[in-house]
Amino acid sequence: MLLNKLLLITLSLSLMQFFSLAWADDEIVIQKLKVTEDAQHVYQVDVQIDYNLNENMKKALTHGVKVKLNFAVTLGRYRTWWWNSTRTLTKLSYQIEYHALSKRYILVRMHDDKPVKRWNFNNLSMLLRQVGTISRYSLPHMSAAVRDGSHFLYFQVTATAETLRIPLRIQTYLKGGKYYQESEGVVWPLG
Amino acid sequence: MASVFIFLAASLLFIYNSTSDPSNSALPDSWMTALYLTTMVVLLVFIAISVIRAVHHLRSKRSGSRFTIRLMSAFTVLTAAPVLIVSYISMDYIGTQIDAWFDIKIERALEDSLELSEQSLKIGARAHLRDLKKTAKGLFKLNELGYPAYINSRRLDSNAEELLLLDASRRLIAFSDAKRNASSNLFSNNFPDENVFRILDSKGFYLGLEPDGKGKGGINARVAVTLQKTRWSKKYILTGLFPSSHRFASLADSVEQARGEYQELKLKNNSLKYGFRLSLLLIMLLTILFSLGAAFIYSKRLTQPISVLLDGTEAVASGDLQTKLTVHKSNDFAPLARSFNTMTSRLFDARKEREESQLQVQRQHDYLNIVLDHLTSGVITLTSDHIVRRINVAANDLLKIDGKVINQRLELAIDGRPFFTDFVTTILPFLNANKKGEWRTEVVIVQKNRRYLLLCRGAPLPHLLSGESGTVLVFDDMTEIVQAEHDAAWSEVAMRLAHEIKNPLTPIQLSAERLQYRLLPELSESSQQLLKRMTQTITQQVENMKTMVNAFSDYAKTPALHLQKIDVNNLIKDVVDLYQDIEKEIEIVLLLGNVPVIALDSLRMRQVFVNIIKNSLEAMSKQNKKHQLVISSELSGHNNIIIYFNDDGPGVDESLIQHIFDPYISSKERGSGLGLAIVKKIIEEHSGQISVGRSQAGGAQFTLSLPVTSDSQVKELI
Repeated sequence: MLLNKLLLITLSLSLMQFFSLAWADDEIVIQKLKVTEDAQHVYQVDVQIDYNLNENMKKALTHGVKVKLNFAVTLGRYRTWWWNSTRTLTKLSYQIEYHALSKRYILVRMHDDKPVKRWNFNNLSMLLRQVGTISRYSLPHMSAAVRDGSHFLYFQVTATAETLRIPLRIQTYLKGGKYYQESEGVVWPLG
Repeated sequence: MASVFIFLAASLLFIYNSTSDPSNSALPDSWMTALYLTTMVVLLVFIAISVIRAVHHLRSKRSGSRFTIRLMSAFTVLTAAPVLIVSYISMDYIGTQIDAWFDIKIERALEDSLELSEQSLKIGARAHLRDLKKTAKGLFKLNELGYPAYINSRRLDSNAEELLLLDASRRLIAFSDAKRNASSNLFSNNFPDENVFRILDSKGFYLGLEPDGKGKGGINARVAVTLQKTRWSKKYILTGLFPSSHRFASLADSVEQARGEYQELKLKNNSLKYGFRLSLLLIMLLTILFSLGAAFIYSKRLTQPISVLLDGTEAVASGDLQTKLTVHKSNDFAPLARSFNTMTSRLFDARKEREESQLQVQRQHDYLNIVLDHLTSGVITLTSDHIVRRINVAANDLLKIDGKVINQRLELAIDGRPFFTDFVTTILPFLNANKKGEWRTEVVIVQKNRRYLLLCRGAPLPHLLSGESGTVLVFDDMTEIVQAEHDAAWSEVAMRLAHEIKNPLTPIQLSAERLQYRLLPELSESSQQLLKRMTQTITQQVENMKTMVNAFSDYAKTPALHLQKIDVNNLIKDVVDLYQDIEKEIEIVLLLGNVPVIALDSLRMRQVFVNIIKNSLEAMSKQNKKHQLVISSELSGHNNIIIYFNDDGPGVDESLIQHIFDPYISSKERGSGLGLAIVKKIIEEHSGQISVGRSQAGGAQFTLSLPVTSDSQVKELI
């Protein structure tokens, strides 16, 4: 009887571990984040992001669907009497494409939904590693008031299968984000 | 509703277009889904409200509610059933249509085309590889200082995009780029990646395709070789990027694009089906809801005229005849509504006329009642079964009954009403004997030592609409009239007697005195004594007769009253003072209440009080014991002053009570018998009443009732 219970508990724990790992594999995670302020009071961000795209996203990519990656930085202010006020400070956008003819993945840096720069990679993991490393990214100039202790920076990353039309979106809504992924938000207090 | 209908039609058209041609698969955007859901929620709310309202109307048994629900149910079934069938077929059809987009042959052809393009490009790339190897051999002939110029010239000769020369540690030795000059030391966008070096290490050369960095479908061939002059000399890597021809790149890009779009659609195959079916499901739901909503609206519109008509009918049934239905000319029910309005108008007029007639009858009834109630004659109407239907105020007073005999049989209504009993007992034989003819009779009723005479007439009543017939009884109290006639006769007799008797009395008296005067000297002593005695007797009797005649005369006379404002209590006190101490055994007690001053002839009223008190004292003085005469006065209501004379003497004999106020009726041995007759006459001259009865002490009780006169009346009378 006791043996059965122990077996059951062990099995349950194993299953939990398996599902947590499986779940973690399909997550976008902000692994490292560092915000520094230079002599000109410009904030610079160093961040390491693990883009663990799920299988649907990868499959969509190889089927010609473009995937858009967004690294959004939001300036927020704590408020005790109401919800915190927030303002999008900047957004770092990339687009990933698969080029079937050359069997290479193309990374496109986007600005205002227009391509700015393109790179190509032999495989997706190399591309994701490359795009997941952001060094000394300068944030827009902020007034000195943000250093009063009540302000914070909020970082979040999203991946969206860009060309999805309504049916896939409906699937996304109904089936729980197969074609959309987002990381946990990270808060960095200022001041 | 119209906008929802247009929206639904547009959605269906959109789905038709999308499924017909894959290139039109710009499927409904999120706003469309939001619009679907919003419309659905609105329709659901509308239907829920309509259903709740319909059920509420049904439960409250509102007119037309059942009909409305039946229509709604019928509409629902008739619309939902075909929509469900069509939707089921459409869903299956959509799946087939979308599957038709994808064909394994097309897919294979596209893949083959892609591979063909790749192979074609790689053939070109191999040529570039051969050129690159030639370039590498050329480099062996030069020293390192000549590398940049040589590479630049070779790049221009071979139409390469760029040529790079790296050492074994991947350090840039020399390069030539179509966009940059040779002195530039920047890393190129197209710096070979790790994979290139890995393959070079294993195979000694690399050949591959790369999209150009312009994003316009251009493609480059990346080729690289490892070069080493001798086994011990330095190792270099030479790599170049060669653009494909514009035409070739365009064709390859077209194939790439077509394959990409096809693959994207293939990826979306299930999703498309799912999405289209979901959209169709939404449209179907919307259609059903729209049909339901429309069914509710049109059911209501259809049943509304009937409901209005039913409401109107119910209003008429509940008595509201002023209900008017609105007549819409375009409505098929307009003639019905018009007829209804005409009917209610006529009914209203008829009811108004009937009410006016009833009012008229009521007025006549009231008029008759007022007339009857102010008649001095008593009036009673009876049915043929002797049930009292109406009795007027005078009849109530005369027969001393209250109105509670109405709707009772005469024979049963007499209980506890002795006066009414005597009346009914007398007239009942006449009622039974003369049901169809008029009759009259005198009814004599003796109650409480008083005799009443009623003259009663009966006549049959005409038949009423209900078939009821009966009799009307009219009767008058003749007691006072007969008494007045009686008194008048007595006055006439008294006056004539006084006149006839009084005239010869004086000659008789004078003759007797003359006889005494002439004959007295001529007669003997004894005869003189006899003559004197006889003469005295004649004279005395004549005096007595004169007194009696004067009393008659007084009774017969009706002198005018000299009215003055008199306090009755003071007048009583004055009279009592005269007799207060005459009889020591008799005590006169005054219990005089607060009474108003009234108009009286003081002399004649004094005569009344003297007469009554004197009679009482004389009656009590015959018994040798202590007696008491109690005189009291009070105000009865605001109309009469009542004066009681109660003694504890022998009282009035029962046989005399009815006639005590008649002339020549007296219980005294001496007296004219006119005292109480005169008292009664004086009281009646003052519009009062007098009655006699037995006091609580066993003696006599005289009760006087004098009317109270208002100040204005007093002034008028005086």
